[in-house]
Amino acid sequence: MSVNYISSIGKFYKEEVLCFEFQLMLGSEAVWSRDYDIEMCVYTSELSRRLMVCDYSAGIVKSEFRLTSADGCEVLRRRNSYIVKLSPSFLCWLPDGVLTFGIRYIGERFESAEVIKTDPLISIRR
Amino acid sequence: MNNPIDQYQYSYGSGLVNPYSMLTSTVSVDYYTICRPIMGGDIKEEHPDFLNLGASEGLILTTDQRRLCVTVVGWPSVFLEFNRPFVSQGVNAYGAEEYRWYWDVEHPDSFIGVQLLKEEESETWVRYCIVIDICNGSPLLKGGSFDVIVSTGLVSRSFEVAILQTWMG
Repeated sequence: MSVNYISSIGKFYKEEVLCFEFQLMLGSEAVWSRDYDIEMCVYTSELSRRLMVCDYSAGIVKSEFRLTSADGCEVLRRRNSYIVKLSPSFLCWLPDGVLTFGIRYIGERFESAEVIKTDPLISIRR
Repeated sequence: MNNPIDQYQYSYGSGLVNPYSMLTSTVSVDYYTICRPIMGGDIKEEHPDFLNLGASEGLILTTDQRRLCVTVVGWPSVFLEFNRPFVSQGVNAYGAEEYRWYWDVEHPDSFIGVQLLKEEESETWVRYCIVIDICNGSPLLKGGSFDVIVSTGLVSRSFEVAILQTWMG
């Protein structure tokens, strides 16, 4: 589990809608969410399928370089954070494993990326 | 012990890119992300930023008048910026954020102080008082002007403060 991850109840189910709030920090200050584009790759193991969740509302990445988000996900921007909503139609494509976010931030003057591991994602039917 | 697979994810600069990752990453150590799950999909609506200033025009302050107050109502919080670099910044005995600078280098016993004091807050607005002081009220203080920029980070307003030299020698 990532040190930057604040734990939940210990596991996530693919059959529910999952919401995560992400806050990009620079030192002790949160970065305004309008200042960066987001490319997030969601997966559960090294060999699992990678599903993209992208939001280019900051307008920094040119349209020809933009990636397409997978179906069943949504990004809600807040002042200094953003919320990623993953629905069962998105999660069903991921094999059981640790739900992991590889996030890339593209700003006007910076670019940063990191990997955040959360809790196991499993099917409630197994 | 770190998982070496995670190190692949982080090692774009050294060429160790995870071949299964769709990301190419340039890591900046200054930035980091905090992630927390929102249980039960409880996403609260966020109030948009706003700012209302008690003064939108220029303010004139004479060296013998010494003090002016401007009321600001905004959301979620405001901070001040200036078009002149201030010399010092801190929180004073009244709990106000105070900026000060020495207007006239020949008279360091006098300075202009700007204080931002939170007076009252509710769930949708916060009221501040901006106090502009000519401290010690020295008649030797030179005249001049500066801009005060009030900002929430997303919206901002500004006003000019003109200091009139009232000492005629």
